[in-house]
Amino acid sequence: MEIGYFPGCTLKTKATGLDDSVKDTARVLGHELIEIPDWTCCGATFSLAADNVMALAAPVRILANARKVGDKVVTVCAGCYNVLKRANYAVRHDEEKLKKITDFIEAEYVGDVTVLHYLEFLKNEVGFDAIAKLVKRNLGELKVVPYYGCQMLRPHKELMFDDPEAPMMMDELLRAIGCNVLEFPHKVECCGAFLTVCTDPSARAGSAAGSGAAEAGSEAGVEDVARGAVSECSFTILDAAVRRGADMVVLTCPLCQFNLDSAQEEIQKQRSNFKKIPIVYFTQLLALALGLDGSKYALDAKHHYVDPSEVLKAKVTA
Amino acid sequence: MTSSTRVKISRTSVRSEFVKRVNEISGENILACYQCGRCSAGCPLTFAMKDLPNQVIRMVQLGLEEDALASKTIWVCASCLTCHARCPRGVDLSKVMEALRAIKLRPGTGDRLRLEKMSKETLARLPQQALVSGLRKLTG
Repeated sequence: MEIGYFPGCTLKTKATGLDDSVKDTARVLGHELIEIPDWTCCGATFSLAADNVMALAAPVRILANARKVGDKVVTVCAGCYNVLKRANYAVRHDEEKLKKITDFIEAEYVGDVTVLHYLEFLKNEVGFDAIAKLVKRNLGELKVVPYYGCQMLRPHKELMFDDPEAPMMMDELLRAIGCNVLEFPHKVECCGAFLTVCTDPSARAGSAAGSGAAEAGSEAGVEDVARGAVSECSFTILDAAVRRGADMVVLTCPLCQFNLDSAQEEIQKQRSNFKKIPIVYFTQLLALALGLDGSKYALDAKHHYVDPSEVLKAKVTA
Repeated sequence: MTSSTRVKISRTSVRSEFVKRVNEISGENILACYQCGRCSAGCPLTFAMKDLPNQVIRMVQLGLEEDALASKTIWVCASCLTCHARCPRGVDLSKVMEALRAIKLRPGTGDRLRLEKMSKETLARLPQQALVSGLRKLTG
Protein backbone atom coordinates (compact mmCIF):
# COMPACT_ATOMS: atom_id res chain seq x y z
CA MET A 1 0.00 0.00 0.00
CA GLU A 2 1.19 3.51 -0.78
CA ILE A 3 0.94 6.26 1.82
CA GLY A 4 2.04 9.93 1.95
CA TYR A 5 5.21 10.68 3.89
CA PHE A 6 6.57 13.98 5.19
CA PRO A 7 10.27 13.64 6.15
CA GLY A 8 11.00 17.22 7.28
CA CYS A 9 14.20 19.25 6.95
CA THR A 10 16.50 17.50 9.42
CA LEU A 11 15.90 14.03 7.98
CA LYS A 12 17.45 15.14 4.70
CA THR A 13 20.59 16.52 6.35
CA LYS A 14 21.63 15.44 9.84
CA ALA A 15 19.25 12.56 10.38
CA THR A 16 19.50 10.58 7.14
CA GLY A 17 19.77 7.37 9.18
CA LEU A 18 16.28 8.07 10.48
CA ASP A 19 14.86 8.84 7.01
CA ASP A 20 16.40 5.79 5.36
CA SER A 21 15.42 3.39 8.12
CA VAL A 22 11.81 4.62 8.09
CA LYS A 23 11.42 4.12 4.34
CA ASP A 24 13.22 0.76 4.23
CA THR A 25 11.43 -0.74 7.23
CA ALA A 26 8.05 0.35 5.81
CA ARG A 27 8.94 -1.40 2.54
CA VAL A 28 9.82 -4.65 4.33
CA LEU A 29 6.45 -4.40 6.08
CA GLY A 30 4.64 -4.06 2.77
CA HIS A 31 4.12 -0.29 2.55
CA GLU A 32 5.62 2.28 0.24
CA LEU A 33 6.09 5.71 1.83
CA ILE A 34 5.69 8.31 -0.93
CA GLU A 35 7.22 11.71 -0.21
CA ILE A 36 4.43 14.25 -0.61
CA PRO A 37 4.95 16.72 -3.48
CA ASP A 38 6.69 20.07 -3.09
CA TRP A 39 7.25 19.87 0.67
CA THR A 40 9.10 22.46 2.74
CA CYS A 41 10.23 22.86 6.35
CA CYS A 42 7.18 22.94 8.66
CA GLY A 43 8.63 25.72 10.81
CA ALA A 44 10.16 23.33 13.37
CA THR A 45 8.20 24.79 16.27
CA PHE A 46 4.50 25.57 16.60
CA SER A 47 3.88 29.25 17.27
CA LEU A 48 2.29 29.70 20.69
CA ALA A 49 1.07 33.21 19.93
CA ALA A 50 -2.67 33.18 19.24
CA ASP A 51 -2.37 36.05 16.75
CA ASN A 52 0.45 34.52 14.70
CA VAL A 53 -1.49 33.22 11.71
CA MET A 54 1.51 33.45 9.38
CA ALA A 55 3.28 30.58 11.16
CA LEU A 56 0.43 28.29 10.13
CA ALA A 57 1.02 28.91 6.42
CA ALA A 58 3.89 26.42 5.99
CA PRO A 59 2.31 23.46 7.84
CA VAL A 60 -1.11 24.01 6.20
CA ARG A 61 0.54 24.16 2.78
CA ILE A 62 2.25 20.83 3.59
CA LEU A 63 -1.09 19.33 4.65
CA ALA A 64 -2.74 20.59 1.45
CA ASN A 65 0.01 18.89 -0.58
CA ALA A 66 -0.35 15.73 1.49
CA ARG A 67 -4.05 15.67 0.57
CA LYS A 68 -3.03 15.22 -3.08
CA VAL A 69 -1.49 11.84 -2.14
CA GLY A 70 -4.19 10.63 0.24
CA ASP A 71 -6.10 11.29 3.44
CA LYS A 72 -3.21 10.26 5.71
CA VAL A 73 0.33 11.52 6.07
CA VAL A 74 3.08 9.78 8.01
CA THR A 75 5.90 11.64 9.73
CA VAL A 76 8.50 10.45 12.22
CA CYS A 77 10.22 13.59 13.53
CA ALA A 78 8.51 14.54 16.78
CA GLY A 79 8.85 18.25 15.93
CA CYS A 80 7.13 17.86 12.55
CA TYR A 81 4.43 15.69 14.12
CA ASN A 82 3.74 18.38 16.70
CA VAL A 83 3.65 21.24 14.20
CA LEU A 84 1.53 19.47 11.56
CA LYS A 85 -0.92 18.08 14.06
CA ARG A 86 -1.34 21.32 16.00
CA ALA A 87 -1.72 23.33 12.79
CA ASN A 88 -4.34 20.85 11.62
CA TYR A 89 -6.16 21.18 14.95
CA ALA A 90 -6.01 24.98 14.76
CA VAL A 91 -7.58 25.23 11.29
CA ARG A 92 -10.14 22.51 11.99
CA HIS A 93 -11.41 24.54 14.93
CA ASP A 94 -11.25 27.99 13.36
CA GLU A 95 -12.91 28.50 9.97
CA GLU A 96 -11.77 32.09 9.69
CA LYS A 97 -8.13 31.11 10.18
CA LEU A 98 -8.47 28.28 7.67
CA LYS A 99 -9.92 30.64 5.05
CA LYS A 100 -7.28 33.29 5.67
CA ILE A 101 -4.45 30.78 5.22
CA THR A 102 -5.84 28.89 2.24
CA ASP A 103 -6.52 32.22 0.51
CA PHE A 104 -2.97 33.31 1.23
CA ILE A 105 -1.25 30.12 0.06
CA GLU A 106 -3.74 29.73 -2.79
CA ALA A 107 -4.53 26.12 -2.00
CA GLU A 108 -7.57 24.04 -1.23
CA TYR A 109 -7.62 22.45 2.19
CA VAL A 110 -10.49 21.61 4.54
CA GLY A 111 -8.62 19.98 7.41
CA ASP A 112 -9.27 16.42 6.23
CA VAL A 113 -5.77 14.92 6.42
CA THR A 114 -4.93 12.67 9.37
CA VAL A 115 -1.37 13.13 10.64
CA LEU A 116 0.16 9.88 11.85
CA HIS A 117 3.41 9.34 13.67
CA TYR A 118 5.31 6.38 12.20
CA LEU A 119 4.81 4.61 15.54
CA GLU A 120 1.02 5.02 15.22
CA PHE A 121 1.24 3.82 11.64
CA LEU A 122 3.17 0.71 12.70
CA LYS A 123 0.77 -0.03 15.53
CA ASN A 124 -2.53 0.64 13.74
CA GLU A 125 -1.86 -0.12 10.07
CA VAL A 126 0.73 -2.89 10.37
CA GLY A 127 0.35 -4.24 13.90
CA PHE A 128 3.13 -4.96 16.39
CA ASP A 129 2.26 -8.68 16.37
CA ALA A 130 2.75 -8.84 12.61
CA ILE A 131 6.09 -7.04 12.97
CA ALA A 132 7.20 -9.50 15.68
CA LYS A 133 6.70 -12.38 13.22
CA LEU A 134 9.11 -10.80 10.73
CA VAL A 135 12.02 -10.38 13.16
CA LYS A 136 15.23 -11.87 11.73
CA ARG A 137 17.86 -10.90 14.30
CA ASN A 138 18.07 -11.42 18.04
CA LEU A 139 18.04 -8.17 20.04
CA GLY A 140 17.33 -9.88 23.35
CA GLU A 141 20.65 -8.94 24.90
CA LEU A 142 20.09 -5.25 24.21
CA LYS A 143 18.85 -3.30 27.23
CA VAL A 144 17.08 -0.16 26.06
CA VAL A 145 15.13 2.74 27.54
CA PRO A 146 12.57 4.47 25.29
CA TYR A 147 12.57 8.26 25.43
CA TYR A 148 9.54 10.17 24.07
CA GLY A 149 10.39 13.78 24.97
CA CYS A 150 7.86 16.62 24.72
CA GLN A 151 6.81 17.21 21.15
CA MET A 152 4.87 14.05 20.40
CA LEU A 153 3.05 14.09 23.75
CA ARG A 154 2.09 17.64 24.64
CA PRO A 155 -0.46 19.18 24.46
CA HIS A 156 -2.43 15.96 24.77
CA LYS A 157 -5.78 17.58 23.89
CA GLU A 158 -4.48 18.39 20.41
CA LEU A 159 -2.09 15.49 19.76
CA MET A 160 -3.97 12.61 21.45
CA PHE A 161 -0.84 10.48 21.30
CA ASP A 162 -0.89 7.66 23.86
CA ASP A 163 -0.81 8.54 27.57
CA PRO A 164 1.00 11.89 27.96
CA GLU A 165 2.53 11.07 31.36
CA ALA A 166 3.22 7.36 30.81
CA PRO A 167 3.37 6.56 27.08
CA MET A 168 3.96 2.91 26.13
CA MET A 169 3.77 2.77 22.33
CA MET A 170 7.52 2.77 21.71
CA ASP A 171 8.04 0.38 24.66
CA GLU A 172 5.59 -2.04 23.04
CA LEU A 173 7.24 -1.89 19.63
CA LEU A 174 10.72 -2.39 21.07
CA ARG A 175 9.45 -5.34 23.08
CA ALA A 176 7.80 -6.78 19.95
CA ILE A 177 11.14 -6.74 18.10
CA GLY A 178 12.80 -8.53 20.99
CA CYS A 179 14.64 -5.78 22.90
CA ASN A 180 15.01 -5.93 26.65
CA VAL A 181 12.98 -2.80 27.44
CA LEU A 182 13.58 -1.23 30.85
CA GLU A 183 11.16 0.94 32.81
CA PHE A 184 12.16 4.59 32.41
CA PRO A 185 10.58 7.31 34.55
CA HIS A 186 12.36 10.06 32.59
CA LYS A 187 10.78 9.19 29.26
CA VAL A 188 8.62 12.35 29.03
CA GLU A 189 11.18 14.83 30.37
CA CYS A 190 12.50 17.76 28.27
CA CYS A 191 16.03 17.66 26.79
CA GLY A 192 16.27 21.46 26.53
CA ALA A 193 15.13 21.54 22.89
CA PHE A 194 16.04 24.65 20.88
CA LEU A 195 18.02 26.12 23.80
CA THR A 196 20.86 24.12 22.28
CA VAL A 197 21.48 27.13 19.99
CA CYS A 198 22.54 29.03 23.10
CA THR A 199 25.62 26.95 23.69
CA ASP A 200 27.84 29.06 21.46
CA PRO A 201 29.07 32.20 23.27
CA SER A 202 29.80 33.89 19.94
CA ALA A 203 26.08 33.79 19.14
CA ARG A 204 25.17 36.25 21.86
CA ALA A 205 23.10 38.91 20.14
CA GLY A 206 24.53 42.39 20.02
CA SER A 207 27.76 41.61 21.84
CA ALA A 208 31.16 42.35 20.42
CA ALA A 209 33.81 39.78 21.27
CA GLY A 210 34.93 40.14 24.87
CA SER A 211 32.21 42.49 26.04
CA GLY A 212 29.68 39.73 26.67
CA ALA A 213 30.35 39.19 30.35
CA ALA A 214 30.22 42.90 31.18
CA GLU A 215 26.75 43.18 29.71
CA ALA A 216 25.35 40.21 31.57
CA GLY A 217 23.07 42.39 33.67
CA SER A 218 19.36 42.88 33.30
CA GLU A 219 19.47 42.64 29.52
CA ALA A 220 21.65 39.55 29.29
CA GLY A 221 21.36 37.70 26.01
CA VAL A 222 19.65 34.38 26.12
CA GLU A 223 22.93 32.60 25.62
CA ASP A 224 24.15 33.78 29.01
CA VAL A 225 20.95 32.70 30.66
CA ALA A 226 20.33 29.38 29.00
CA ARG A 227 23.88 28.19 28.40
CA GLY A 228 24.36 24.78 29.98
CA ALA A 229 20.61 24.20 30.09
CA VAL A 230 20.73 21.40 27.52
CA SER A 231 23.63 19.57 29.16
CA GLU A 232 21.96 19.83 32.57
CA CYS A 233 18.60 18.56 31.29
CA SER A 234 20.34 15.84 29.28
CA PHE A 235 22.44 14.76 32.26
CA THR A 236 19.32 14.10 34.35
CA ILE A 237 17.89 11.88 31.62
CA LEU A 238 21.12 10.08 30.66
CA ASP A 239 22.26 9.47 34.22
CA ALA A 240 18.90 7.85 35.00
CA ALA A 241 19.27 5.63 31.92
CA VAL A 242 22.81 4.56 32.84
CA ARG A 243 21.81 3.83 36.46
CA ARG A 244 19.06 1.54 35.20
CA GLY A 245 21.69 -0.42 33.32
CA ALA A 246 20.58 0.60 29.81
CA ASP A 247 22.87 -0.01 26.83
CA MET A 248 21.24 2.80 24.85
CA VAL A 249 18.50 5.41 24.79
CA VAL A 250 15.98 4.99 21.96
CA LEU A 251 14.00 7.92 20.56
CA THR A 252 12.30 9.47 17.55
CA CYS A 253 13.22 13.17 17.43
CA PRO A 254 16.38 14.44 15.66
CA LEU A 255 16.66 17.40 18.03
CA CYS A 256 16.48 15.17 21.13
CA GLN A 257 18.99 12.87 19.47
CA PHE A 258 21.42 15.72 18.85
CA ASN A 259 21.02 17.15 22.35
CA LEU A 260 21.27 13.89 24.29
CA ASP A 261 24.20 12.67 22.17
CA SER A 262 26.31 15.81 21.80
CA ALA A 263 25.70 17.09 25.36
CA GLN A 264 27.74 14.15 26.64
CA GLU A 265 30.94 15.93 25.63
CA GLU A 266 30.15 18.81 28.01
CA ILE A 267 28.82 16.49 30.73
CA GLN A 268 32.05 14.50 30.69
CA LYS A 269 34.11 17.65 31.18
CA GLN A 270 32.12 18.51 34.29
CA ARG A 271 31.61 15.03 35.72
CA SER A 272 34.61 12.78 35.24
CA ASN A 273 32.82 9.62 36.39
CA PHE A 274 29.96 10.03 33.90
CA LYS A 275 29.42 6.94 31.77
CA LYS A 276 28.59 7.61 28.13
CA ILE A 277 25.56 6.02 26.49
CA PRO A 278 24.65 5.87 22.77
CA ILE A 279 21.42 7.47 21.47
CA VAL A 280 19.67 5.80 18.53
CA TYR A 281 16.35 6.02 16.67
CA PHE A 282 13.75 3.28 17.17
CA THR A 283 13.64 2.82 13.40
CA GLN A 284 17.35 1.98 13.31
CA LEU A 285 16.76 -0.89 15.76
CA LEU A 286 13.68 -1.91 13.78
CA ALA A 287 15.82 -2.08 10.61
CA LEU A 288 18.36 -4.30 12.39
CA ALA A 289 15.62 -6.54 13.77
CA LEU A 290 14.04 -6.96 10.33
CA GLY A 291 17.37 -8.17 8.96
CA LEU A 292 18.28 -5.07 6.94
CA ASP A 293 21.91 -4.10 6.34
CA GLY A 294 22.89 -2.17 9.50
CA SER A 295 25.74 -0.34 7.76
CA LYS A 296 23.21 1.68 5.74
CA TYR A 297 21.63 3.58 8.63
CA ALA A 298 24.31 5.86 10.06
CA LEU A 299 24.87 3.72 13.16
CA ASP A 300 28.51 4.77 13.37
CA ALA A 301 31.01 7.19 14.91
CA LYS A 302 30.68 9.59 11.98
CA HIS A 303 27.04 10.32 12.85
CA HIS A 304 27.24 10.11 16.66
CA TYR A 305 29.31 11.64 19.42
CA VAL A 306 28.84 8.35 21.30
CA ASP A 307 29.34 5.55 18.79
CA PRO A 308 26.58 2.90 19.05
CA SER A 309 28.29 0.36 16.73
CA GLU A 310 30.34 -1.52 19.33
CA VAL A 311 27.48 -2.37 21.67
CA LEU A 312 25.28 -3.27 18.69
CA LYS A 313 27.99 -5.56 17.33
CA ALA A 314 28.32 -7.27 20.69
CA LYS A 315 24.64 -7.64 21.50
CA VAL A 316 22.73 -8.01 18.23
CA THR A 317 23.09 -11.52 16.85
CA ALA A 318 21.87 -13.28 13.76
CA MET B 1 10.94 40.68 42.42
CA THR B 2 11.49 38.60 45.55
CA SER B 3 8.95 37.51 48.13
CA SER B 4 9.97 40.36 50.43
CA THR B 5 9.75 43.12 47.80
CA ARG B 6 7.01 45.67 48.39
CA VAL B 7 5.08 46.39 45.24
CA LYS B 8 2.51 49.03 44.63
CA ILE B 9 -0.62 47.60 43.06
CA SER B 10 -3.09 49.95 41.55
CA ARG B 11 -6.23 49.72 39.48
CA THR B 12 -4.29 51.14 36.55
CA SER B 13 -1.48 48.59 36.67
CA VAL B 14 -3.78 45.59 37.08
CA ARG B 15 -6.02 46.77 34.24
CA SER B 16 -3.18 48.06 32.11
CA GLU B 17 -2.68 47.72 28.38
CA PHE B 18 0.18 45.35 29.17
CA VAL B 19 -2.06 42.77 30.89
CA LYS B 20 -4.57 43.05 28.06
CA ARG B 21 -1.80 42.57 25.51
CA VAL B 22 -0.47 39.42 27.22
CA ASN B 23 -4.00 37.99 27.37
CA GLU B 24 -4.53 38.85 23.73
CA ILE B 25 -1.27 37.41 22.33
CA SER B 26 -1.36 34.31 24.51
CA GLY B 27 -5.09 33.72 24.17
CA GLU B 28 -5.01 32.72 27.85
CA ASN B 29 -6.85 34.12 30.83
CA ILE B 30 -4.00 34.87 33.20
CA LEU B 31 -6.33 35.68 36.09
CA ALA B 32 -7.49 32.05 36.10
CA CYS B 33 -4.19 31.14 37.78
CA TYR B 34 -4.55 30.81 41.58
CA GLN B 35 -0.82 30.41 42.22
CA CYS B 36 -0.71 26.78 43.34
CA GLY B 37 2.81 26.37 41.97
CA ARG B 38 2.44 23.05 40.17
CA CYS B 39 3.95 24.61 37.05
CA SER B 40 7.12 25.49 38.91
CA ALA B 41 7.22 22.10 40.66
CA GLY B 42 7.22 20.28 37.33
CA CYS B 43 9.38 22.67 35.28
CA PRO B 44 12.60 20.89 34.20
CA LEU B 45 14.49 24.18 33.79
CA THR B 46 14.07 25.86 37.18
CA PHE B 47 17.75 25.26 37.94
CA ALA B 48 18.51 28.03 35.44
CA MET B 49 15.80 30.44 36.70
CA LYS B 50 15.77 33.16 39.32
CA ASP B 51 12.04 33.79 39.01
CA LEU B 52 9.97 30.62 38.97
CA PRO B 53 7.28 30.26 36.26
CA ASN B 54 4.41 30.93 38.71
CA GLN B 55 6.20 34.08 39.92
CA VAL B 56 6.35 35.42 36.36
CA ILE B 57 2.62 34.77 36.03
CA ARG B 58 2.10 36.67 39.29
CA MET B 59 4.04 39.63 37.91
CA VAL B 60 1.73 39.72 34.91
CA GLN B 61 -1.39 39.35 37.08
CA LEU B 62 -0.29 42.38 39.09
CA GLY B 63 0.57 44.37 36.00
CA LEU B 64 4.27 44.57 36.87
CA GLU B 65 5.28 45.08 33.26
CA GLU B 66 8.93 45.94 33.80
CA ASP B 67 9.60 43.00 36.12
CA ALA B 68 7.90 40.49 33.86
CA LEU B 69 9.64 41.66 30.71
CA ALA B 70 13.05 41.83 32.40
CA SER B 71 12.78 38.34 33.86
CA LYS B 72 15.28 35.96 32.31
CA THR B 73 12.85 33.13 32.92
CA ILE B 74 11.04 33.97 29.67
CA TRP B 75 14.25 33.17 27.76
CA VAL B 76 14.99 29.97 29.69
CA CYS B 77 11.56 28.45 28.99
CA ALA B 78 12.00 25.71 26.36
CA SER B 79 8.23 25.42 25.63
CA CYS B 80 8.14 21.78 26.75
CA LEU B 81 4.56 22.28 28.04
CA THR B 82 5.03 20.25 31.23
CA CYS B 83 3.54 23.20 33.15
CA HIS B 84 0.48 23.30 30.93
CA ALA B 85 -0.02 19.53 31.22
CA ARG B 86 -0.13 19.83 35.03
CA CYS B 87 -1.99 23.12 35.54
CA PRO B 88 -5.24 22.45 37.43
CA ARG B 89 -6.70 25.70 36.02
CA GLY B 90 -5.92 24.88 32.41
CA VAL B 91 -3.61 27.85 31.91
CA ASP B 92 -1.09 27.32 29.14
CA LEU B 93 2.00 28.99 30.61
CA SER B 94 4.02 28.28 27.50
CA LYS B 95 1.70 30.68 25.67
CA VAL B 96 2.14 33.35 28.34
CA MET B 97 5.93 33.02 28.07
CA GLU B 98 5.61 33.24 24.28
CA ALA B 99 3.52 36.42 24.63
CA LEU B 100 6.15 38.03 26.86
CA ARG B 101 8.90 37.07 24.41
CA ALA B 102 6.78 38.43 21.55
CA ILE B 103 6.37 41.80 23.28
CA LYS B 104 10.17 42.03 23.55
CA LEU B 105 10.92 40.69 20.06
CA ARG B 106 8.24 42.17 17.82
CA PRO B 107 9.63 45.71 17.66
CA GLY B 108 12.51 44.06 15.79
CA THR B 109 15.30 45.44 17.92
CA GLY B 110 15.62 42.80 20.62
CA ASP B 111 16.83 39.70 18.77
CA ARG B 112 18.37 37.17 21.13
CA LEU B 113 20.12 35.16 18.47
CA ARG B 114 22.23 36.30 15.56
CA LEU B 115 23.32 33.69 13.07
CA GLU B 116 26.01 35.98 11.66
CA LYS B 117 27.70 35.97 15.04
CA MET B 118 27.80 32.20 15.30
CA SER B 119 30.89 30.31 14.27
CA LYS B 120 30.80 28.31 11.05
CA GLU B 121 31.60 25.17 13.05
CA THR B 122 28.58 25.65 15.30
CA LEU B 123 26.30 26.35 12.35
CA ALA B 124 27.53 23.23 10.60
CA ARG B 125 27.11 21.16 13.75
CA LEU B 126 23.58 22.16 14.76
CA PRO B 127 20.67 20.30 13.21
CA GLN B 128 18.35 22.38 10.98
CA GLN B 129 15.52 21.81 13.42
CA ALA B 130 17.49 23.57 16.19
CA LEU B 131 18.37 26.57 14.01
CA VAL B 132 14.87 27.07 12.64
CA SER B 133 13.15 26.72 16.02
CA GLY B 134 15.83 28.83 17.71
CA LEU B 135 15.25 31.63 15.21
CA ARG B 136 11.49 31.37 15.60
CA LYS B 137 11.74 31.58 19.37
CA LEU B 138 14.48 34.13 19.79
CA THR B 139 14.14 36.67 17.00
CA GLY B 140 11.40 39.09 15.99
